[in-house]
Amino acid sequence: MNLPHYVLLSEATSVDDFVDDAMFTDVTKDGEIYTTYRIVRFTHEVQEHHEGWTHLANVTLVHSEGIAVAFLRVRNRIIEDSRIRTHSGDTGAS
Amino acid sequence: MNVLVCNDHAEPLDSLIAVLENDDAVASINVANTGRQVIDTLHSRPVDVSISSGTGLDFNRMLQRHLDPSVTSTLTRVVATKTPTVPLLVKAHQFGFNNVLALTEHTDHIIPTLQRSISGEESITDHPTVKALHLTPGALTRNISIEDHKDQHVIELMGVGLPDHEIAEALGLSIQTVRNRIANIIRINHLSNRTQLALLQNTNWQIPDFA
Repeated sequence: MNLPHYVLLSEATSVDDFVDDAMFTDVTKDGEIYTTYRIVRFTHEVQEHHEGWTHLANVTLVHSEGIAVAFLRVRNRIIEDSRIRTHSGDTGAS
Repeated sequence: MNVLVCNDHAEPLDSLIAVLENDDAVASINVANTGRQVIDTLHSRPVDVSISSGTGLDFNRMLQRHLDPSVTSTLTRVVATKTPTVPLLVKAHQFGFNNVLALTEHTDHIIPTLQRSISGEESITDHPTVKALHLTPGALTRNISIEDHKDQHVIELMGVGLPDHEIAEALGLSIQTVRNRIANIIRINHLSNRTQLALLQNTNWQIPDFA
């Protein structure tokens, strides 16, 4: 299995360059808990990730305080899936 | 105190009624055998505490939708059961009951427990199991608030068991739109999770007059 490549994106890019809607809801705990985030900046393009993640982004919580890093699967400018990265060793694999 | 006993055939509260009838602390006892009788009694007579059986828990929750806020705001609601299990305790808490009364062979505790429940000295929220779960009392008694008809369509499909991606496909929405809407509905209704929302959606009905 190939290791994924992380390509650092320019700080000059904006969220609008990648998606139509910067807000997305991450679903955890077997589909029970819904948490809404807003993308602040896309930081990396992810290539050849075995779980299909396409981007890494800095995100903020929408309805409370907090920041995080999110693995995202973006297709046709729509976020199809997400996984919130919980610590520095998280490589996006389940 | 003025008492309303919501009696039902599955778990009759006859022994409790006998205890209440023989205690001077009880000023009046009303026994209701149908939902309509419960509603009419609460709107026409002074009642400090209504007592339901464990099997009448779900039905009693439905009745709350038919009561004036002036009635519900002052009414203490107690579940009386021979088997006060943990699921019943948690359910009663989520359905907005104030306390659970264990019916044992000894009856000395019944009147003091009811009095402490009415005064607020004793409450279901103080139970260690309930405290540990960090649940919102009465979370499953509300009518669902939504922002528009698309929210309504989303929760109706969720209520029949569709996963997010199938709701999205059926309504021609992106999965993120569906999830954003579900997250928002859960938030504005002060619920904890998707299951609570689906449960509320499926019990969001009115009691017919013949019930």
